[in-house]
Order: sequence, then structure tokens, then C-alpha cells
Amino acid sequence: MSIKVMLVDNETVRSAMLSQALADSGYEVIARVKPGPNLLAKVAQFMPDMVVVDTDSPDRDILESMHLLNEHNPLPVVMFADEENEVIIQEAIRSGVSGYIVKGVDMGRVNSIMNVSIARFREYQAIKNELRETKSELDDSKLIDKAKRLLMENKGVSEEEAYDAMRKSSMDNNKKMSEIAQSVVSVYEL
Amino acid sequence: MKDDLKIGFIALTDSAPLVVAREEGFFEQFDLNVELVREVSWSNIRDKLVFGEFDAAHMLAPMLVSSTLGLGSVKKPLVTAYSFGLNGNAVSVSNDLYAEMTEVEPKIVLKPNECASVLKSVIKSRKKAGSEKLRFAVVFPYSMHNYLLRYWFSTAGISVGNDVEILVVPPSSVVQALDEGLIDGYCVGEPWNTHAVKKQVGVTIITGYEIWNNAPEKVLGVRKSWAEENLGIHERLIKSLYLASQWIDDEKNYQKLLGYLSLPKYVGAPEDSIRNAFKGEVCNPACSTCRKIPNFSLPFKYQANFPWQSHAQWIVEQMRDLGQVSDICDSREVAESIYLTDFYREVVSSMGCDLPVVNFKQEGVHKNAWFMDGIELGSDALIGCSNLEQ
Repeated sequence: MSIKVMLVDNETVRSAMLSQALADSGYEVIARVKPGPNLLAKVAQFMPDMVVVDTDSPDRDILESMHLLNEHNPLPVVMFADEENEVIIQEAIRSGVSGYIVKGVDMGRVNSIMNVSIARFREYQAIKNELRETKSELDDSKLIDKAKRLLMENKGVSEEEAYDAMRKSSMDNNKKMSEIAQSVVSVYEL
Repeated sequence: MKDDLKIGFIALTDSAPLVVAREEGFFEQFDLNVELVREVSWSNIRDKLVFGEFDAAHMLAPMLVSSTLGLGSVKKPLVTAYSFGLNGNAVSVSNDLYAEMTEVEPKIVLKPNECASVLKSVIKSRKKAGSEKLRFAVVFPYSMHNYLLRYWFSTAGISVGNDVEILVVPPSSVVQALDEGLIDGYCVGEPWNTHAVKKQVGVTIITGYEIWNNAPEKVLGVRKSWAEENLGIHERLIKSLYLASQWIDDEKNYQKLLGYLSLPKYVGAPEDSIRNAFKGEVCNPACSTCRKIPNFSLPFKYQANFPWQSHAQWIVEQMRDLGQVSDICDSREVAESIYLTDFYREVVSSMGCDLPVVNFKQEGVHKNAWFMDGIELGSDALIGCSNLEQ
């Protein structure tokens, strides 16, 4: 019997990536939802066997209560806590993902779903970091151009002279070009 | 050489000792380089502490029992030698439920002792009218909020299950859940009661202090194995937090404290919402009354940082009554294994402070502040309890 998975994630792109990866591994993602206090109603509506949740959302605490507090809840969900495989939980926590299961589902499959989730969360984080670096490189080069232009206008130097002056200052002071450019900009924009 | 530590906390006013120790340099004074990490859920706090991502954490006192016994998570023994303070919770209800309650008793906000029985009358009329069961939220299954709320319900014969339902909503989401009508009331720590009142989403009807005078609340949780291996660091951590708690209690630091807590990286709520916990006031904009609750939140006074094993024992007994732990569980033994009271006493007395010489005290019997061998302790009366000393 296949395991019906529900994804709770704020990042729709990541949730789509994970959904595809789980489908490729033969698991059925029956719902992708955004976090929020009405999570209980969503679980009751979709009746998943397993919930994979982004740990950046506070909803884990709601899921943890399901087997304890809600006597009439149709689905007692417990935290995925495979005592024999603590490494998976530890890696999941580090990667920002957590899993909740309905008692009685096949642990081998649950472990495999957790591993797919961990891998996708890491991949997504790597992409995000790369995007951030690219963006900051772009910002840096814009800043350096601006500083060059300000020096040319205010000191009457050529573009090459302006750039050389900044590079010298960067080397002499052991500072990044972007930091030198930032101080040039702050001086002239006062 | 400074020791690096990572400590997790939740955005609540009682995380103040961590914030102050960092901002006022008390950690630094004891050669600790502490990174504070704000977490969004108690489950994250527990797992990151249990799996070593954190060295210590701001925790609900009952979570130490649940983790140690392996309830709802991986079984890992946790211990504490520092209490962040006493009290700080309150029960708030939606404007609609408040309106139903004022039909029974118009001055309900001024009569906290009567509000449980007023709620019971409301429940009876709702049953007759065929209305839906009321839903109350607590912040975690293993929390003082859960036990205090249930205790308060029981004083008026309100049955969880038959009369009301209890569910979990994380602290930062309760105001939204109340506003969206997903719940009718909740028991939560500050600033989330005052915040609901300020946003005119709900009304605070009784404080935790009025349910159990000077009840335990959050503690500094660490792994048992960590505490055994890092005696010196643990000692310095307790000393720096003790100085921070003392600083918080000094009125002249009040404005500065509000400034720190309202920063987005800490509690991140407006100063107006944070103020009441420290000012000891419960306000209600609808009829513009304010009730003085001087001990609404006690960060330092009355030995608020002393980790009483009798507090832990009370918690284990509530858990046993609820069926969360087994009937044969020895509450005293569990309390002694989790609360490192002797260690706290050794560390804090070395700073020249007089402390109680015992680890257990009688709970629920003192109506007023009292003295134990010359040390002033707060009252510990439980609401609806008849065996109080005068």
C-alpha cells in the first residue's frame, strides 16, 4: 500500500521540488499546504499517512499534540522518532525538515521518504545560497561602478585612474574593493 | 579563551535573562561567548537541544520530564539548575465568549475567582442552545499552560472532552488563531495576552498567578551528559543568568529592558504589549479597567530562580493524573533526577546569596508570603483549595 504524504511548507518552490522527487520515487503527495493555525483541519480533510513539515514554521507543535489532546481527532499523528535510526532525525533537524507519521505505517518507507526530503531541503538551501552570492556579486559591481563615477566627477580623474586609486587603497588597507567603494560612496553622498 | 555556547529561546518575555545577559555583558563577564538562536516551536527547541545543535535552551519545565521519559520524542535525559522565573501566563478569551460571560456576570474582568464558574454557566447555556463546544489552546502538550488551564477548569467542574476541547497552538500564533475564530480562548505567556487585548481581539480573564500563586514556568534545560562534562561552563552560565535576573528586577533598568525585548531579534512585539508583564497589570480596553497583579511575572523576587524539586514533583503528578506518564512513576524520584537543586545552591551561594537549605517545600498551602529560616518566599496557594494556612 502506498503512503499518502502531505507537505507543509512556506516555500512553494521547495515544496514543488520535493513533491516531484517523492513522486519519482513512487510516493503519492496528496496535498501541499502552507503553514497556519488551521493545520488540524487540513490534516482531517486530507487524512495523510505522513506529514512532512518545514521546521521554520511553528506548526510542528500543533502536530505533536494530535495524539494527546484531540480525543476526537480521526488521525493520531506522532513524530517520526525511529530510535534505531537517530541519525536520520538529526540530519532532518539540521536540514530544516521534520516528519510526522500515523502509527502503523511501514518504517522502511518512512525512512526513505525522510531521506528524499532531507536531500531536497539541502539542495534547495544550496541553490538559495548560490543565488544570494550571485546577487551580492552583482550588488558589489554596481557599487564599484558608482564609486568610480563619483571619483571621476569630483576629482576630475579618468575611469582608469579612479579604479587604480581604489585598488591601491584596497591593497594598502587590506580591505575588499566593495568596502572601499562603499566608503567612497558614503563620503560623496553625505 | 572564551567558551562558545549556542542557546535556543522562544519569543516570550521570560526569555529576558538570556537577552539581558547577552546585551548587558554578563555572559562576557564569565568568559562565555553566547549565540542566542530564536526558535519558532518548542519541538524545534527540544530536538536541537537533544541532538546537540544547542548547548542549552529556554524550555517549558514539563518538557524536561517528557524528554527524559521519552514521551512524544526520542528519550534523552535533560536536567536543569536554573529557573527563568515564576508565573507569567494568563487565560484570554475571544470577544464573543467574553460577551457571553458578561451576560452571566457583568463585572467578570474584576472577579477572577468567579470566572471559571461563569464559564461553566456559559457552557451549560451553549449546550442547551446546541452551540459548538468551546475550544481552548495551550502552547504545548507538556506545558504548565496545559496543567494550569485543566486545574482551573476542574475547580468549576468543567470537563475537558465533554465541555471543552483543548488543542495546541504555538505562542506566536495564538492571537491570529483567536482572531480567525479557530479557538475561543487560550492559556499563554506574555506578551501574547496583552497583545490580544491591545489588538482588541480578546480579553484576559485570569492570570496564572491567580490559578497557582508563584508557579514554575520556564527553566534552562541542558542535556544530562552535557551537565556532567561541562561543570565549569554550566556554573558560569548560572552565575551570568543570576546577575541578569537581578538586573531585570531593578526598576531603574525597566525602560532599557523593554527596549531590548522589543527588538525584532528577541521578542519582537511592541513595547506596549511587553510592558504589562513587568508592570503587573491586566487591562481591558472594553470597559477601561486595569487590575493590579503585582506578581503577574516574577523574574527574581521570592527565590524565583531556585529550581524547587517540589515544583517538578507537582508537574509529574499532573502528568500522571492526565495519563501522560504511567501510574507507577515515582514523582519524587523523577523530580530529583531532573532538577539539580544542589548544584544551583552551590553555585549561587558562592556569590554570597542566602538560599533555602531544602529542595522540597510544601506547595499550595501558603496564602501569603512566608519565611523559611529567614528567607522570604512567595505565597503558593492554588485556586479553589481549602487547606490554606492563614
